[in-house]
Amino acid sequence: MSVMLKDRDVITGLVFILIGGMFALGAADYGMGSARRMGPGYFPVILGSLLVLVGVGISAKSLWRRKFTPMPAMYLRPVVALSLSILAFGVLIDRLGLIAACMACVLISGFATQETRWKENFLIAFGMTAFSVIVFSLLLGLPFRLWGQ
Amino acid sequence: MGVLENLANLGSGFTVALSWNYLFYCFVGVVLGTFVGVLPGLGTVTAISMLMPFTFGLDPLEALIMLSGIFYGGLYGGSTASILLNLPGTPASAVVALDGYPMAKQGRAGVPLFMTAIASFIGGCAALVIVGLAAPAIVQVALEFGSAEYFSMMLLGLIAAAAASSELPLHSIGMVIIGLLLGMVGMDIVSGMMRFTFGIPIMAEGISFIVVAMAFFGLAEVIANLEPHVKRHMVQQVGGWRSMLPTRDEAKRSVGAILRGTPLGAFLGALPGAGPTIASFMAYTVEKRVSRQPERFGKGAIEGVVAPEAANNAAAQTGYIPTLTLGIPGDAVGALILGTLIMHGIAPGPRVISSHPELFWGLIASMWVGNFLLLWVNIPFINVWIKILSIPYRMLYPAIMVFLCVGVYSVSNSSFQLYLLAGLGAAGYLFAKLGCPASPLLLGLILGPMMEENLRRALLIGRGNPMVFLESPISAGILSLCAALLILMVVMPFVRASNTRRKRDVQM
Repeated sequence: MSVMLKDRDVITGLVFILIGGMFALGAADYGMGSARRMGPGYFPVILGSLLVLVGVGISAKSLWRRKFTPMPAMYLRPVVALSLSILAFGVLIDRLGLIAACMACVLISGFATQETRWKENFLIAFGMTAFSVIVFSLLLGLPFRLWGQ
Repeated sequence: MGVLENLANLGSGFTVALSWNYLFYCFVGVVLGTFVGVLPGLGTVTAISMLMPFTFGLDPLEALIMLSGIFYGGLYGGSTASILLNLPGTPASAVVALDGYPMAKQGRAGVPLFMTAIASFIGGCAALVIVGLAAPAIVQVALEFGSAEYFSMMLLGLIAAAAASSELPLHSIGMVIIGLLLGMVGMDIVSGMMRFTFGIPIMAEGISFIVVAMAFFGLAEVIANLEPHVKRHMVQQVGGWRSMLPTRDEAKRSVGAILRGTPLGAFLGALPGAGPTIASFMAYTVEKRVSRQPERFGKGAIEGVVAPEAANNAAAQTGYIPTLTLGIPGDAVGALILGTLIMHGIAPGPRVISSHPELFWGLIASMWVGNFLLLWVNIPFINVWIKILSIPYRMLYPAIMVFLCVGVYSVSNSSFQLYLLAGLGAAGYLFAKLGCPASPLLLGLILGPMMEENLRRALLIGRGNPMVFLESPISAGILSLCAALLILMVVMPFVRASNTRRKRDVQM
């Protein structure tokens, strides 16, 4: 049983069933209409149901053949560190402006790997911040507040 | 439209492409593309999606010229990384490593680098002629298309993309459907109803394809590259001009290889779902088949370098045909180009060429110019690109992160898009681990709304009777192609399995 649940294809199938099911159930409330006059729910319900079928197919095929390919390892460290660096950019850009957001983004992203050398990372942070201010804000004229509310 | 008229159009295209501003953006695109292509672990799709937000302020042709430059420049830069590091910068250049890297190890890196430049140039230019001739002709047919034909055509594009992009056909089909579903998010154009927006106002505009492209091809790639076991090698230097020249024998063998690789690539590129990667693999296989000494391949045969390179550049150019004539992209890059058109308010479809002739012909001409620029950007400065190749990834990825954040934020000046980026990036990493390819999802996302619209319209005209799709001969033909492809996708794994079994038996 546990072997089955670690199988790559079984997991893929389950993910597909979950996504398809959510979309299909959600769309069912939107009004199906008829084939001639389709409501907003018609196409998504069909697609969601198809996705569920595909998911069932993938899982079933893998279970039936009993040839399991284990799911490759996922490394959480880069996922968490990079997500946090993006979130920090998102929170800071509206509140403190581009300079703070850029600095935070680079510094936090440094946690994503053990190879980071912090002195280097600080230099990159300053460099990228200067680059962003000059290129994005001044040259390309993107509407950023540089600093403050 | 006659050939003469096309020539005249192409002429006016050149006058457009050679004006200073377009020349400038072409140059910028080619240089940026080569730069990103050279950097290992950054593909052309990543490069285009990362830099796309910065082209919003340009006029549509400037944006298209620059993004296209990034595309074929990136393909070229990718083969540089392939040859020197055995670490393909883009999947399309993976094959070039098979024979290019052994040559580099023998201390002759200059030869494949020089020859790929020449092969790309010839392949790209020849394919552009085909684009200029074929596109107006295809448009003539496409103008007759109604909703039923369009729907069938898009279905074919999606199925072909799924068939081509993975060893696991069901996985790719699933990804196409997820893409289509993500395309449903936002306001329904017919009823005005909000779908899957969870009451978040900004979701009414739908999920931006730029955010999805950046998440799946940018963020997810960076995460994968930061896995602890990914290791990189050092690079050799390349000598001067002299060391780049092939031997007379090699030059002679290259000619035939380029002449075979170019038409093959041009043909495959124009098919939906195929594209540069498949073209380069096919060209390599063909060369190995026709060679009198197939045993040389894998040890530094020049044909194995130039044929795939000519093929992938030819395919890159003809890949524009379905995107620009039908409005149906063949691969992820086509999807991004189509998205750019839409962003700039140009409705994709067969009318693009007639209503914006300067756009189409200017773009074609600029790609010619760009292929020429590539030679000058690459061959004399090869050692500069090698220096760039040796930048360690730990210094690169924080810079990529800033590009991603600034780019995604500027899509609609809202932090919400950034939170979406973080979430979708993690999802993209999971999908990559599950063996689910990302390009079908992106294609589905772009085509989703158009497909729904055409399905609705076709069935409205057909009074709800699905037979409407079979009554038109074109649509029926396309649908039977779809069916054939689906059957092939189901049958192929069994054929392959029995083949390997047979081979194993023979070896025993």
